[in-house]
Amino acid sequence: MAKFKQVNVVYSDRFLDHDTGGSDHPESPERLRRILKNLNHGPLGDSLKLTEPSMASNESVLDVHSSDYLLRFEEACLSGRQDFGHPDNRICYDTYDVALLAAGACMNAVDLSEKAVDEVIFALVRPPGHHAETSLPLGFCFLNNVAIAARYWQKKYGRRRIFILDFDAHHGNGIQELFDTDPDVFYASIHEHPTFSFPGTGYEEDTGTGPGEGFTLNIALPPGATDSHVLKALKERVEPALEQFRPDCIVSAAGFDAHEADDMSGLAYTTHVFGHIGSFLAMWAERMCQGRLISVLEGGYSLDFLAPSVEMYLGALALKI
Amino acid sequence: MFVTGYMTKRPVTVSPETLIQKARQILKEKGFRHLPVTSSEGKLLGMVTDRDIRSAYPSSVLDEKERVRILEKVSRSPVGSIMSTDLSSLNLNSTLDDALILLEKQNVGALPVVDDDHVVVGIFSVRDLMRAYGELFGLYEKGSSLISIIEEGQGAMNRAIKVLEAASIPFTRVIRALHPLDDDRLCPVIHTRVQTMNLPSVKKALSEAGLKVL
Repeated sequence: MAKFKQVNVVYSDRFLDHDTGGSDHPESPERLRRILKNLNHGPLGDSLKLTEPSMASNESVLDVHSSDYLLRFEEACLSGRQDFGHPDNRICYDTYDVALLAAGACMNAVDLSEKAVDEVIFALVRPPGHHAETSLPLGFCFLNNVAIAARYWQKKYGRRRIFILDFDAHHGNGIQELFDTDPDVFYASIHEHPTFSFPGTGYEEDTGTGPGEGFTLNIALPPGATDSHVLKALKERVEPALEQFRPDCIVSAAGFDAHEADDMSGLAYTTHVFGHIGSFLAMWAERMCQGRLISVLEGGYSLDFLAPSVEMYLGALALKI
Repeated sequence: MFVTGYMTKRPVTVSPETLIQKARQILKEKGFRHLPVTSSEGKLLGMVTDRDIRSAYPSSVLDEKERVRILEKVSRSPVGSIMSTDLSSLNLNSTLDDALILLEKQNVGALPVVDDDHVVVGIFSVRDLMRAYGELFGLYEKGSSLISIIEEGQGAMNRAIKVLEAASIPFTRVIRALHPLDDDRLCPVIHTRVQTMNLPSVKKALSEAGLKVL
């Protein structure tokens, strides 16, 4: 019988209070409910531990976003507006606080990773973050959770070299923008080709700017790409980049919308491949950075296949060999 | 649609008396490949490219004596002796289409842009052309993606636009074109760049109006 490490899920019911207006919006609270329920009832159930997050401090958020942007975001929520910057980005009165809590959860995940290296740490959060730029909300994202966690890891624990792997079907333009010129943070993303996919960024030709040149790796897959494409990308492009970069820690921007059943992208992965991604990450983290790895939920909108995909991913990360 | 909006304005120019050595240095320092050669009034006389300059310098396979002789000659020669004078130029009314046709026909990397008095006011390169068309097609718009709607049935274009507007889906480009299918048949499509992450809702709204997305 398989044995699993403890899976520490940083989660709060408060994340459900970010109301995106009902059934038409793909980024719904139901996503997290289903993930949690499925984890509880599945083989990882006995290994599951829930950690209640704390809100991100303004100081940490300001490391990534502009103060003017935060003011506008808070104001939009409190004034009762229905969206911020674009009709896609639905907000409610609670969204600002919930977003701060989501960012805080990712910082808590960093703390846990420093304390308990033998646990699998997963920030089960919403709203997602990887499209949010310094002063721009985009694609359901407001605060860039992964970027805030990466900066926090550097500042609080002095872990300078951070590798971010983003396997969401959509390119994480926000993460790329924030670390574009930074040679200490490597951003690798595997996503659907920008010509056919939101947000229209992430061309393979974009490899970083100035001192950050060579520290961005965009892998753009054609619509319809399957498991074999992503496995090849991981083995032949991500692994060599990691080997060369030698990170102190890894942040996984874990999006599950490349699943074939998810109509938010044209990619066609099976549930199975998320297990492979988890295995690769576990192996790399073990080999290169003493297991220092956190995973942060980004997209994934197929209510029927998101939860099994997350379970497959975490199961592979947690498997004891 | 005019080249003036995308050209490099007031480009660096040289006089025909400028030494080749100096022109070479300018190109190297500035990272250009084309230098318009102008009269003292700024009128276009010719163009000199990094290629012209390379050809002027002696080949490394020549024997030493011959190399030295050519090097000495180059060091005294002005760009006027190597510039191309049989050249086309764009003017203030040239469109991007003009530039594309001319760049392709002349097989050059850049063309000078002159005013009515033949004074050089800009330089327009293949790079500028690519950037201009990239912008026209909305390539650099963050938060957008291209969708292709099959244009079939009465008033498909009209229906497609109405659907997008009714659903408050921002879109920026609409291009009617023939899309080659796998069996080489051509299928009339409407390419449009929509600005939303919620593509399933776009496809749903279009399909409810009887429109298919490729």
